Amino acid sequence: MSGDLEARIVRYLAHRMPEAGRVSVLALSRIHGGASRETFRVRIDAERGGIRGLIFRRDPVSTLIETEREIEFAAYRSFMDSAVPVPAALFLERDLDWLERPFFVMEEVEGCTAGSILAADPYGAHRRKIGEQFFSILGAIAKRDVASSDLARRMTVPDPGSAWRLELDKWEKVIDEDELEPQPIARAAIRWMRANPPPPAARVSIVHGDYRTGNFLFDGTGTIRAILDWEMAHLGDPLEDLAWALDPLWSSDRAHPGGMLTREEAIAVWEKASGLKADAKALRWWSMFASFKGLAIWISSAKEFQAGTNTDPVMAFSGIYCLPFHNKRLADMLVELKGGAR
Amino acid sequence: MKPSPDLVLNQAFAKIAMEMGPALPAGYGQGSATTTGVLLLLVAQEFNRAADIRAKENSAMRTLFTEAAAAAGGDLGARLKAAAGEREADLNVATLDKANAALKALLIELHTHAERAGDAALEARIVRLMAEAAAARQVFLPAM
Repeated sequence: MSGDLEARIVRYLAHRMPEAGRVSVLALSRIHGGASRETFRVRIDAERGGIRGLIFRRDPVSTLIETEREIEFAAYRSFMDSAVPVPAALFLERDLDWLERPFFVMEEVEGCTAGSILAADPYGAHRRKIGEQFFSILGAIAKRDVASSDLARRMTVPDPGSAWRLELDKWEKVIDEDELEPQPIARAAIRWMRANPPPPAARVSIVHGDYRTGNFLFDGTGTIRAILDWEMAHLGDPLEDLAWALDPLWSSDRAHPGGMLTREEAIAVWEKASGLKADAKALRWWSMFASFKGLAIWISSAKEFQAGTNTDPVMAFSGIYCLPFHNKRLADMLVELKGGAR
Repeated sequence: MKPSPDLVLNQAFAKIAMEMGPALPAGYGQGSATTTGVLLLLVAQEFNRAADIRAKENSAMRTLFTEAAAAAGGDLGARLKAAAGEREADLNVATLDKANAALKALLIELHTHAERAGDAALEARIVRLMAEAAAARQVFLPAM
């Protein structure tokens, strides 16, 4: 199978990169963790251009998150040559003849690693340096002009007052379609969020949609070299990304969301970089939304695994560990809001 | 069953995640092996308690329904009363899960009813019940 894939990739590169001359594949391996795309690291040797690393992101048969690869590709393109480090997005391919499913190709960012939510201290001595970059880059994403971005050409720019509702509707629909059993905590959270909407977005921004530990690469000096996994990118309230990045699921160190800075430090770095204020009331709403959106994703992944449409162990992990985690987080929030009356 | 299933699963986790996984080349296979090992550990945590937490959840919801049925009244009150009187035929997890799903659907109805009626005390009781149930269903990751 991998030999077949290798031959297909060689044929594709010869088609897309005729200027490179004869291309051979030196190494081909699948990268772990891509639950919404199959990700392959491909090391090639080109007659003209020499050895280089490429990343192929192919749509899986079944996906954790039903997203359009055009959106992800456009998101990478929106930040090329900017303060937000991203790998160069090279080719977007919709023709199924090449690799059976749509895919896109990026340059590999070499010599880097990603943190893991399973690691007790994913960044070690670099945690502060990485944390300051991480939240500063998120501020830069919030600051990016939306109108001139590739994304704005592919999706409607929401009204600042309705960004929250569009996202809530989207993820409620996921639960409606994918729940394997009734979800009383999610349903209670939905009702509370609808009854207590956040203030309008201070600015409509590009929202990464999955900005967290595990979705960026850093090198041995603690420098962030690439923000990855833009498959849930959309336009909306930048507080959505901030709340998601601060969610406690991303690190076992509850005092340091994502295993980096304290919550207060992170918000201060983000505010300075974005030029926005993280309104406490709005951030509380988006924090509940973050755990709710997580819950919706885990419900969907549990369904995929249960149905046998995607048996990647990450899908089972999402249902067994992440789903109860966010159920408890949401329930605790509801108790804070409503649990006092006797 | 001896060795006990949770012990077997814990040992399988150690073997797969600590020995077999690291011996594989870095990449998809190694990551999948580690995740699979962690899954076994999490399932081991669930094994002993699975029937107990479901039985307790179902019992807590039935107790709540018994007390809320009269105040709810009408069709909802009747269904709450009927559900409160039901009992599972056995303690198989699948049987408990089936009853649990039916009770949770009714809990959503009762919660919505309490919100519409402005019954803050009942709302508070429901969210505390949900939080206790959610806490009992937590599983915990190993330090890696």
